[in-house]
Amino acid sequence: MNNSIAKPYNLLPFRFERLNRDSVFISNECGEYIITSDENFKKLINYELGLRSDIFFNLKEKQIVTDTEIVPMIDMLATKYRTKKAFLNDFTSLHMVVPTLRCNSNCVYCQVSRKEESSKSFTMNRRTAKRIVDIIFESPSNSIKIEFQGGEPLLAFDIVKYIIEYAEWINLFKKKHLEFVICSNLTLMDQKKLGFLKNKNICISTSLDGFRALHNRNRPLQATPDSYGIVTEKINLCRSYLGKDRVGALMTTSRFSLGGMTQIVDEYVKQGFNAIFLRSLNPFGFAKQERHNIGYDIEEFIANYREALDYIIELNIQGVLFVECFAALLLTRILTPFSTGFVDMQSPAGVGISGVIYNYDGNVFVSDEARMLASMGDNKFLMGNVNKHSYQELFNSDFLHNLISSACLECLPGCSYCAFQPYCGADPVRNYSEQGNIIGHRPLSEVCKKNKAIIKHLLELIKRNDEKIDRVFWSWVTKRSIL
Amino acid sequence: MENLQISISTKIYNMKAITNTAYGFSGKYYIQIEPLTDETVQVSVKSKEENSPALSNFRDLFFNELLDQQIRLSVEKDFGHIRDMIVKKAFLPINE
Repeated sequence: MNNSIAKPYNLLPFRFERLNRDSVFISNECGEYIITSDENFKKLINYELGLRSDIFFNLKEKQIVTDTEIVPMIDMLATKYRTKKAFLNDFTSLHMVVPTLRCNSNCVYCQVSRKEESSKSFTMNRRTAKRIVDIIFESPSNSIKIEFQGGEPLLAFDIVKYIIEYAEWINLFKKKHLEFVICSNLTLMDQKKLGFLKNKNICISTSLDGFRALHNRNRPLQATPDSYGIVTEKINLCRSYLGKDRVGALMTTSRFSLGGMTQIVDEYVKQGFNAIFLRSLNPFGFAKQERHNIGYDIEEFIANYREALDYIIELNIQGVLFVECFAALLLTRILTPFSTGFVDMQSPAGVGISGVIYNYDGNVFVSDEARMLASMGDNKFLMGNVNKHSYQELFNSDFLHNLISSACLECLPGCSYCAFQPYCGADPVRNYSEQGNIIGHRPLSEVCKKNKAIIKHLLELIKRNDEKIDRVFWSWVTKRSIL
Repeated sequence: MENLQISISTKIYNMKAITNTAYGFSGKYYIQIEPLTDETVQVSVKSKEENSPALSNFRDLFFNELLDQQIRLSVEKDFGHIRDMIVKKAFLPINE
């Protein structure tokens, strides 16, 4: 950089990354970006850009350079930065509750080390359930989401029912925005339960890994291998009571899913879903123990993800509104100034401060993955227990403060200067599970490899300036059909 | 297993840029940084795997990345304070 001559313009803080031999991606603190040639990049840093050139105007518009006063630029960038980080305005709003660890499924990748359906233990009692709801409503957040996880929550439906009714009672006084999610394999869902759930602000999140053979291979029940037939029937039953939009599904990619991504997408379309979240395996529980049987290299997942994403884009171009949720999240971060807190991928990390999980015995963990780790015997991320600790002791502890301090991308090795930082997030629990420490080693991190590859793929697609693809992406961001 | 030594002038390149560059390659290679003279360090590189690609173009890749890291530091040195002002300004309402 040439510092000896009078500068025709000022640079504002930016980060950069080479996409390929000739393309350089430049982003500012708020995620505004530009993709330019290596030649233009050299001119930029050597102050050789013409003040009337298109590239200069583009960079100026993105507040990466300025030829006017810097102070108004700082005001503008500060406002944008505050908007991007607005998810911090709310403290913990996602409260996951595990009413029981018992489960009637036999999933090959079970990440929580399920307990037998017939077991007499591992189910929450009412005292603990009441205490959890009391703690939840001490959160300063105006929005509370209580999400029932498992085990299979419907095996402890009396506790689910108790928590919903008690939370609604408390909320008559607290007047927060309150919603519920039940994450269930749905096998035990029936008209009686749905009759109770019908008038609650409740969503159902089930698991559908794809077409019949694949779903049955990944997620057999203990009683029968054909879980596919049951879950697809129960999805429709839930829709008939709660409405179509109140029932969602998640998929997990096992080794058996590779090569079949387009058929998985077709299955989701066939079942009437308009979105899918293409998720790789998390290295917890059976998924970690059985990695040699059901796992895969992250590069294989990335190749499959790209193929599926291209297929989904084509479906949208053909007129089928169908969203890939991870891409939609990244595109919202890349293309808009809006805040998108996502517990698993934000900076600071969402552990404890955005989402938290209460186990059946009252133990509180910073995330679902932390609970999965505990099920493998490691209580590293245990915040405390609702029956022993107060809200302040759980959520304002030195432990949580220290953890969050170590989970900001802005000061993590390899992340602090990464140009994709405004779109990415920190996950100390995943770092610890995958690499043995909460900071992690980026050059070997699978999450880093995956996120970078997918962000780069999206940028390549944006760079094409293909009107059809752009319309699809904006329809995902704005949640509107392109037709 | 193949080894490679690269000597780098600390008069031209900042130590932080050298360390950041070495860190980026530490997934595939064992890397050691040692002082050579008052104004030079030696970076020793060894492949982690028996059959990993030859180190023939490693030097070129390393110096290209080193240049990028040096630019990042220059940008940070000259304009990092502006970023600090942005963040400070952004959080002003809750500090008041």
